[in-house]
Amino acid sequence: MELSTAIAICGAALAAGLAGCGSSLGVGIAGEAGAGVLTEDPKKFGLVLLLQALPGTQGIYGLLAGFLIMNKIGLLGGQLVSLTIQQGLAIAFAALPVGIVGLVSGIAQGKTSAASIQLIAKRPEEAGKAVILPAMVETYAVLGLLMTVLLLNGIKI
Amino acid sequence: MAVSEMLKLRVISHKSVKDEIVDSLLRMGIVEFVDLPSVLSEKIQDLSLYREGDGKAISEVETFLNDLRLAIDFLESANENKRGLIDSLLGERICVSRVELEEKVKRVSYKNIVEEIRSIERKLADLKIRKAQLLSDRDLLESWKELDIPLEFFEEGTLKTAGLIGSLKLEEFERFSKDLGENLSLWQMFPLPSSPGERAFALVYLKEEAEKLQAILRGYGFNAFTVPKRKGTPKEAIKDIEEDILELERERESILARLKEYLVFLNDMKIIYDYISIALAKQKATSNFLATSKAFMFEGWVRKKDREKVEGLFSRYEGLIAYSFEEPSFQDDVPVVVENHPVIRPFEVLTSLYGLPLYGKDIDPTPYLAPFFFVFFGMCLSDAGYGLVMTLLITWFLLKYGVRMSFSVKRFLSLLLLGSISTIIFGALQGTWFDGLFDQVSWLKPLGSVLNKVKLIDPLEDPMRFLGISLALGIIHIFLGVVLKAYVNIKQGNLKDAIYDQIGWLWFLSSLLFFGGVNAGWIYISLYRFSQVMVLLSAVFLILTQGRGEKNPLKRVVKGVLSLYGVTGYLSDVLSYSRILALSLGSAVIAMIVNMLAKMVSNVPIVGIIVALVILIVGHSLSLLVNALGAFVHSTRLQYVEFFSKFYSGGGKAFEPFAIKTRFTDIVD
Repeated sequence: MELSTAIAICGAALAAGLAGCGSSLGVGIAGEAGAGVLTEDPKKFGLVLLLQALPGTQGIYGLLAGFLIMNKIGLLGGQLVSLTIQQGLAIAFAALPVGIVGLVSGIAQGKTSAASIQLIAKRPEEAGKAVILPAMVETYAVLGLLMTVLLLNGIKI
Repeated sequence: MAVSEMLKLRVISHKSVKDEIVDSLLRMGIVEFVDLPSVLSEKIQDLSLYREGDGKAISEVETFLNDLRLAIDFLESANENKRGLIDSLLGERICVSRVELEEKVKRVSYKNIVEEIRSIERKLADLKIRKAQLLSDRDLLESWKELDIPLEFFEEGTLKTAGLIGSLKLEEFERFSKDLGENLSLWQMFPLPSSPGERAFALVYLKEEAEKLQAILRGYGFNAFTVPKRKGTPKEAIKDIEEDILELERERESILARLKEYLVFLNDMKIIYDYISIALAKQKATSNFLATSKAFMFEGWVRKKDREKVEGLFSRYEGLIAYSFEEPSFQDDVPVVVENHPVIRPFEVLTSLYGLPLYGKDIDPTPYLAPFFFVFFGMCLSDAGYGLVMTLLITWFLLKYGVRMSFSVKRFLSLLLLGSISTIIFGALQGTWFDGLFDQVSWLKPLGSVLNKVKLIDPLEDPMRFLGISLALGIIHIFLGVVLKAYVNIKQGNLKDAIYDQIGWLWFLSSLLFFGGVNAGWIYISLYRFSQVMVLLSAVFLILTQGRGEKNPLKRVVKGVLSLYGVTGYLSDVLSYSRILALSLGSAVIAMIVNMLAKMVSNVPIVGIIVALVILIVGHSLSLLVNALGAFVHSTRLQYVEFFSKFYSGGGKAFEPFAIKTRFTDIVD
């Protein structure tokens, strides 16, 4: 394997790793708040679970980006594509938006989800609004993913 | 297709027909009573009118109802034939006729039953606490098993000696035993097992030296244990405790058996609960009526189309009733209900989630958001296979349980159903069926190639074009929002605002688009000059009009120029629609990962196929859940943040007519 491929793999690892960290922290934060609410009212489990799951998407986006990179450099079965160092670096850089934004927004979204869980603890009828607030944070994770995908698409091999 | 028109109903009638009228209104469920004292002017209050309600009686009934509810819940939890998940989600409804209901209420002495069940609940809770105490005592004694001294000794001692049990920090222990040796004449120590870092022991000492010992102990962090009040050595005491625990268990069993005897009343209790809650609702509603000794009056809201029904009812009491219908006045807080064509009705979910329109100020956004939500959801989820699965599941569920569902659950599921149909359409256009699963399995290939014939665009291969489509849809969506605002303004007579703000901006934005189009070479280059002029003209128009609130002409121009900055808002709004591409790619790639994992294991002989099937089913189910959630949340967000912000304020109060609302039963006539 060439150095360039290794660099590209580093990109894939960063995308999945950083975004995964963000999600696990976020889901953890939301889960702590959720467990507190459930001790009072176990019937809210469905709603709480939904809100806890919301910061989980960053991890999926990271995985997705990592997968796209693996596909691009032929790591998933088939021949390894031979890359120049520049191409390898470009791929690694392209992976950064989804990784970094995933890390930060995952945590932020986890906090918002936790607050939303408090919201439904007091006013379960406002569940719709409680779901929308964390989704506002997710916008930026989506945009990060989009940037990564477009960048990857733009790198010609 | 809009916000229903409302009328204010004002009624004065004779008390002799009050119950009849209230009962009929309850059954018809078309009038919402207004809290009268808050709307009456002081003048009317002089006319020796009084509020009829008896607050104390109502709160008593409420307390009882609450007790009844808790008793039902508790009984339900003791019910052994557990209901299925779906049943407990939807709630089983009991069908009961009006006559049956009245009879039940007369027959069963529910008050005693509720008391009894509540007392059983308390007893069980008490047993639980006692058992926990016994268990913790047993655990403590278990660690003192080796101690051969009866426990009562530590309580009272003998004539000359006494004892105590406790623990010290490990590092203090040596110094402590030295201290003991130096100061006490006679003592014996029995080591006991303890938690790490500590040293537990029992100490026997002379009673006459008790004070000396206390003085020594004070110098250390001695932690004295509470010795359980039991007779005999720890070993004997443990046996005792175990017998007590068995006794508690037996007691619990017998209490539970007694509780089960009450299970036969469960249905009746539910029926009675509903009966009382209806009665309570009636009492609460009428407590806002005003009355004199002979007459009563109330006000309420009625939909215009229900006017005839109400008049029909009142015509029966001719001579005993006077009433009027009025158009709502400007300062009335009119309750809102939106009505739409059945196909569009499911989308009302989104409108009410955000907040209903304000009466007389907003238009009902439902019909306008409906097509966009439909398209966005399909494009985001974008896998025809998922759409198909969802469509089948939801249809089956609606057919099987639809009758028992509440209106709002049904409406929500219908919305999801429409979304999944859209997913089939857009998934097919993008050529994704479980993301190419059909192309990978050899015997499904022919099917795959047939399905691929309708494929128009693949976002994975041509993301830029798909992005263009997403943004174009966004532009249409946002323009529609501005046009709707213009419509609202014109309808309310603010023609000037509509022309200066909305039409001005529409002109400016479309000129910019036109200019951009010419620059990009999509439109004839010969129009370049023309487009430039349009942009300039529209910008000048905005500069001249946007600052019209200011008196000072200089400030006016400055404000006008600054308003052009608003174009960045529109730009970011449009870019926000790029999420459609991202989500579409997301669902495609996750499905692809699932397929690839399955393919990897499928090469293992025999077991491979089974594991691959499991991966496919579990993986695609998870992927479907995650992506459907994302598609829903983000399509909704595009309506709320990008679309509604242009024309809609929301915050209307929902129309809640006085009607029969039951928790457990369906009352049939």
